[in-house]
Order: sequence, then structure tokens, then C-alpha cells
Amino acid sequence: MDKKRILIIDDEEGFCNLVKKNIEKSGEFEVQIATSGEDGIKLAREIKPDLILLDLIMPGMDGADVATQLKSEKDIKDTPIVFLTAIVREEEDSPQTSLTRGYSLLAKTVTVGELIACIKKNIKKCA
Amino acid sequence: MAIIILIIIFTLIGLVIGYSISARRQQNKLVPQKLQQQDPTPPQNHTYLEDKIWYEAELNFLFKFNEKLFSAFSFQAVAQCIAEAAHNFLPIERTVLLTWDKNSEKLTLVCSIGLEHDCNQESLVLGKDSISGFVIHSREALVVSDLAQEPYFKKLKKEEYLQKAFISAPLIFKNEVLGVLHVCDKKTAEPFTKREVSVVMNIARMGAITMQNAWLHEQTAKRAVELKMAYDELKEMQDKLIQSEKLKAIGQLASGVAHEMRNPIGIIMQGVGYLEQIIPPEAKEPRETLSIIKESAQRADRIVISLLDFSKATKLELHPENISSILESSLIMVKTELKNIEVIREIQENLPKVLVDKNKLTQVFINLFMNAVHAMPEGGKIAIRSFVKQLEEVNNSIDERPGDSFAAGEKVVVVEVEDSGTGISEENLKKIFDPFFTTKGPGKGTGLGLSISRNIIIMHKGLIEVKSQAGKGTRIIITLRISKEEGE
Repeated sequence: MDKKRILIIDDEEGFCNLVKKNIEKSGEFEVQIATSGEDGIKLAREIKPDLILLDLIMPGMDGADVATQLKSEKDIKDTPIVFLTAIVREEEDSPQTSLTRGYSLLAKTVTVGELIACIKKNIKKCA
Repeated sequence: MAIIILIIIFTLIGLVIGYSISARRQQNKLVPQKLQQQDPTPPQNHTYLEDKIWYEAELNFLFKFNEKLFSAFSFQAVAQCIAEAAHNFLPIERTVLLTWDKNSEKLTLVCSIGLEHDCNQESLVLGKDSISGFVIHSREALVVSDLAQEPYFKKLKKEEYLQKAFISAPLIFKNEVLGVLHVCDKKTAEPFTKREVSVVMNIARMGAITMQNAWLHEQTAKRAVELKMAYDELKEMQDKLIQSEKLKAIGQLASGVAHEMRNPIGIIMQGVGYLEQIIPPEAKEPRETLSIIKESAQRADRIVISLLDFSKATKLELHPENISSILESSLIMVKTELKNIEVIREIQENLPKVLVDKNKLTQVFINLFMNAVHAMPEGGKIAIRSFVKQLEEVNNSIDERPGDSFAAGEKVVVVEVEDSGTGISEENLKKIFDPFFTTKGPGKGTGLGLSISRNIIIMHKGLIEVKSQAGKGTRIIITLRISKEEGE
């Protein structure tokens, strides 16, 4: 079975590296990293990921701007996005706001198990 | 012949001197005698010597009156001193002193001597048709020998203490009429003499000055009390404002700190997750170390979550709710913590619904119950009360915007959570709503529970108060608005 491609867009490089290691360890995913919104969009166009883990608060182009851009692009507009953020309690479905409509919000302090479960749930939802 | 004439002249001189000495002796006793209420009537056919004796007596009396006046500090004591002086110096039946308030146009009887019934402090409404009113408006003393013989006064309202003969002297200071002194009905049949009128006038003059001073002194003292009260109130408001601003500043800071803290915590958690996967289960020590790191990171995360709750300006989802069912569901959620604790419910039946966010209020109640549990490590009692109350007066919270405050007389729902725990000292009570203030041990409390509860209650435009005594327990009182749908 092909590995699912996950793209992490987060300005915290250390966090990205550890998440990559943890997710890849399961053997089910292949992870690419972008540490800015602009790089993330370019990489998304290139690799067409199965899911994007997107930090909400970043310098320059923030998570909401990146999501808006991705939604406007034909090839990647249906890619599920999980927002990783420091400002939610735990995993929660985002309220019906214009920025994060329909996507999951995930606290950055989740355990590896919770993170993988959330990724699988969202890929399945969009399959 | 010349010798006879000389003898007669010397005899006459001797008689005059003898009379003079005798009169002087009498005069020396005059004031004390008068003050002992003996007949002070001076001789009617005045000689130079008699006049001198009388003036000396008057001077002596006024000197003593002056001394007495200056030793009287209160307004009432001054009034009493004036009335007593007139009453003791002159052979009269009654003395009445009234004060005049030009703003309210009222005469108040402040002191009387010799009245059949005590009518002190009785307020009289002045009319120009009263004799006192006449004196006040004319600003001149009135001397009447027989009231019945004065046709003009027949038209005036009869004041019960003014019956036959009287002197009415206005008390004037710096052109302001302060009152009127009535000296009424001589004990002897004679009319009042000029000298007696002069004494009364002097008493009124001196009395007016001291009365004004006493009044000013009392007003100053009253102002000082009012100022002190206003200062205290202002200080309290300032303290509340500082507290409120401090909380707002902490709230703003908290969300920023929470974000910055959670990134490194997230890295630690991912790092721990990674190491958990690669460290073999048999490596006990590394795994134990990892477990400690993980628990600490999670504890730090809980603090950050509390900070976020504290700073979040979340919109409330307000619905008319039954407060007793919110209390019950909150109790169920902490059921396992209530092992050695007796829960006493005193919830009024058929309480009107309150307009609240059920989840937020549940968070508040759970917090209060957990605080109560922590205050009773050996077990104890929690009393949960809820009832309707009509507010008598309202102590507004400083955070309220105009229109948010409760009105006096408004019906509200009150929730009380009282424990029989360790209580809070007076010193700690002041800091109880401060973020990060906790009396619980390290790792047991974030010190944000009551701050968050307070914010939630303020968002509901309600009130939260804490009453506690160290060693006796704590009572939290929450006041909430009744839903308008209740048809209030």
C-alpha cells in the first residue's frame, strides 16, 4: 500500500522534524516539511499531499492565508487540512468560521497517538 | 449756724457713702444671686450710683456668660447656654430659642426653659403671620408689655409661649438672622425695663456669634466625616479599578504567553513521543525519566490551557436554563471527589430560569466544588443553596458597563456554595481572584480557577462574592439575572 503523503507547514523547525519522525515511524506516512507559508504552498503544488498539517500562527503568510490560497487552487483545493495551533485546548472541530471551515483544529501539545488518529480520521473523511 | 450746716452736710455725705457701700456689697452678690434665680429686678428710680451698680452687675454677668459660651462646643450646648443665661438673669417664666433656616424657611425650636411640655426640636413652619416671623423679618427686637393690648399682634399667629409680656430678640451675625430668643412673662407685675432689654440684646448678640461658630464647627466636622467617607469610597473604587486593570493586562499577556509556551511544550511532547518509540520497554530507567518529562510537559500544558481560558473573550451562548439542573450535573461530574463529603442541598423549588451559558456555568460550579473539596482534606460538608432574592441595595462590580448593574428591588437568583473547610485568611481573601494566586500545594492548582470563574460571572453580568473565615469555612455567593422569558 502506498504511503500517504503528509505536508507539514510550520515555522517551528524542531517541531516539524519531530512530528515527521513520529509519523513516519508508523510506516504509513511519508512526510515533507515547509517552514513558511509561501514554501508550503509551492511544495503542496508540487507533491499534492494527502493531508496538510498547517500551523495557524506564523510570521509572514499565516495559516489562514495559506488555507485560502490552497482552497483557490484546482488541484489541491480538496486536500484535507488539519490546523495545528497553540490556542486550542485539544482536538476540536473548528467552528463555522470563514477561516477554518470544516477542518480540524489540533493542539500542538497532542501526543503522537492522538496526532496519528486525527490524521487518519481526516484522510478517511475526504477519501 | 455754719457748723450746724457743716454737720448736716457731713451726715448726708456719710449716709450716701454708707448706702453706696451697702449697695456695692449687694451688687457684688448680684450676679451669683441672679444665677440662683433670685429676684434681680433693679431699682426703678435710677441714681447715678444705681446705674453704675447695675452696669457693673451686667458687665460681670456678661463676662461670665461669655466664659460659659466659649466653653460650649456643640451647637445645642451653645443654644442651651443662651437660654439658661437669659432665664437665670431675668425674673421670667419661660425662655425659648428658635433657629432660622433661610433656605427651608423653617424655624426650629432648639431650646426652651419653663414650657409645660417639652417641645424641643419641634420644627415649626414659619409664616410672616407669626410673632417669631415678624421678628425675623423686621430684624429688630420686640418688647411687649401685654400681648392682649397690642392690636397689631392680634392678627398674628399666636405662639403658645408668648402669652403676656415678652422680649423677642433676633440673633443676628454678619447681617444674617440665625434665630430668635424669646424671654417671656416677668414673674413680677412690672414691665421689662430698658436695662433688661439691653441685657437680652447683649445675650442675643454674643450668643449669635458663638452659635454661628458652633454651627460652622459642626458643619466642618460633618464635612470632615463626609470627606473621609468619600475618600474611603474612592480608595475602594481605585483598588477595584487597579485590580480590574491588572486582570485585563494579565489576560492580554496570558494569550501571548500561552502561544509562546505551547510551541516548546509541543516540541517536548513530540520528542517524548519519538523517544517512547525507540527506547525499548526493558530500559526501565530511561522510560521512567521519559515518563516524568511527559507528565511535567502535560502539567505545563494544563497551566497554559487555564491561561487560555482566562484570556479568551469567548462569546456566551445564552439560553434560559434551570439553575438546579446545572448544579446537579456539575455535582455528578465531581462525584468521585466527594468521597468523605456530605452534600447538603438547599435549593428552592420552582426557581425561575436564568439566562446563562450552561457549559461556562458548569465550569464555574465544578471549580467551586473542587475548591471546596481541596479545602476539606479530612472531609466535611458542602452546602449548595439557590434561591430567589429581591435586592435591597447593589454593590456594583467595577467591571460593569453602564446598564449592566443590578437595580435595587430587582429579583435575582442567588447560588451559594459553602464549605466547612479551612477557610481563607483576611489577607488572602483580598487576593483570591488574582490570577496565579493559590494556597494549594505545588502542582495542585494553577491559581486560575477563581479568576476564570469571576470572568465568566462578569460576562454574565452577574456578581461573585467570597465570604470566609480562617478555620471556619468559605461561602461563595453568585448573583444571576432572571431570564426575561420568565415573564418577570
